[in-house]
Amino acid sequence: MAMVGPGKSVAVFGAGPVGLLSAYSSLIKGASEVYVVDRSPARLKAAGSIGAIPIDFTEGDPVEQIKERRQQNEVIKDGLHPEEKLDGVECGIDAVGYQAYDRRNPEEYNPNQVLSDLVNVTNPAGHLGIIGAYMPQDPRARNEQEKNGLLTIPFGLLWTKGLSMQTGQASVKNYHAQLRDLIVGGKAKPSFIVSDRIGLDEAPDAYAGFDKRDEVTKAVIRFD
Amino acid sequence: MRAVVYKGPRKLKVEEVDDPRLEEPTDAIVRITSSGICGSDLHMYDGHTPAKPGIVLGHEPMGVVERVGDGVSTVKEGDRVVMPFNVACGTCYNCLRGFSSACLVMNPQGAGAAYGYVEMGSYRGGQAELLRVPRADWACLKLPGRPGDGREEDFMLLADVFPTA
Repeated sequence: MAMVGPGKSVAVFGAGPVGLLSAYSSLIKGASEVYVVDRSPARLKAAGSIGAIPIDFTEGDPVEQIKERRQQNEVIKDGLHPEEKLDGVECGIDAVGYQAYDRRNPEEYNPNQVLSDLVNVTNPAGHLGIIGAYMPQDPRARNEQEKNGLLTIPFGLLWTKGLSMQTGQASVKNYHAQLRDLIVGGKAKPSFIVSDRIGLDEAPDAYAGFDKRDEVTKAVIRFD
Repeated sequence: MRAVVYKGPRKLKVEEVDDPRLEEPTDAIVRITSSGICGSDLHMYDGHTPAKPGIVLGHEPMGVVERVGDGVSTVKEGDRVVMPFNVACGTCYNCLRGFSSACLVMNPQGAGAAYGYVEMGSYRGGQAELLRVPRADWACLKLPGRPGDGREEDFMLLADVFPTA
């Protein structure tokens, strides 16, 4: 959705199962730099282990952190591009969705947080892939607007940057056989994200662990 | 069979439910070998959706085909398979142009259906011993190897996370 390809720079927000595999898939597709934003040390470590650059948002605004690192990139520093216009990334991926934490108040949800950060960190003429889920109703949202899925994002900036944006659920069948064949051919081993293998009776506990969005990155119920 | 059932925000129970049966000639019944817990399951679990108690959860199913209906021709008993989280017909306008996530046929409440998810059709989920797979010829992706082998979890991630990412 974010048009990742050879040589492109990518920022992935969220290092859960989808974020980690977005980073992994971006690297398989030949991205030059992949940043992964989260706050969980375990998840950021997993991102680093596959060759992505972990960005801990508790250490400061992730947009600024990524831009600072991009400024040190040789292509931007010494190349032909005017650096002030290309200090972000070309491809932005939302692997969080509407249950995003508010950075200033981490105990609260802020469904606008990741979308706003992505618009800010993505270069003009870049692409956004909004994989994370957003719902028309959220009974536990913080206000009436957000209960009805009405969000506030910097749409003016998005438009002036000329960003494209794709959203929604994947049509899995479009990639099904090709990704299977990457696994069979030994070119992909996505199971590095699996942290917990459990029996059916342990499922309620596994949900509670996964809900902390930290050390349980992916739980699989095994029936064998 | 036994299944993970949603009982309300942060309340789940593993309990006995009726075994699924072949409801249409194009159905298959799959005995689950692995089933993922997804971040989108947490949206329901945390109470951030209008989900009502009683949903059998799970939309990352893989397993072995146990039975097929008379109208299923490309998969058979004993095949090792993984299914997309999308439930789709494979033949409507949207499916044919590559948008099976917006299938116009399988969800009477709107476009796009899935296993075990609120407002995505009333299909039971795959965090259960058995799963009814509608439109099995379209849904089932055949897999090499044996259940529980070294690629079990890699293949399970083909149901949702890997293609989604």
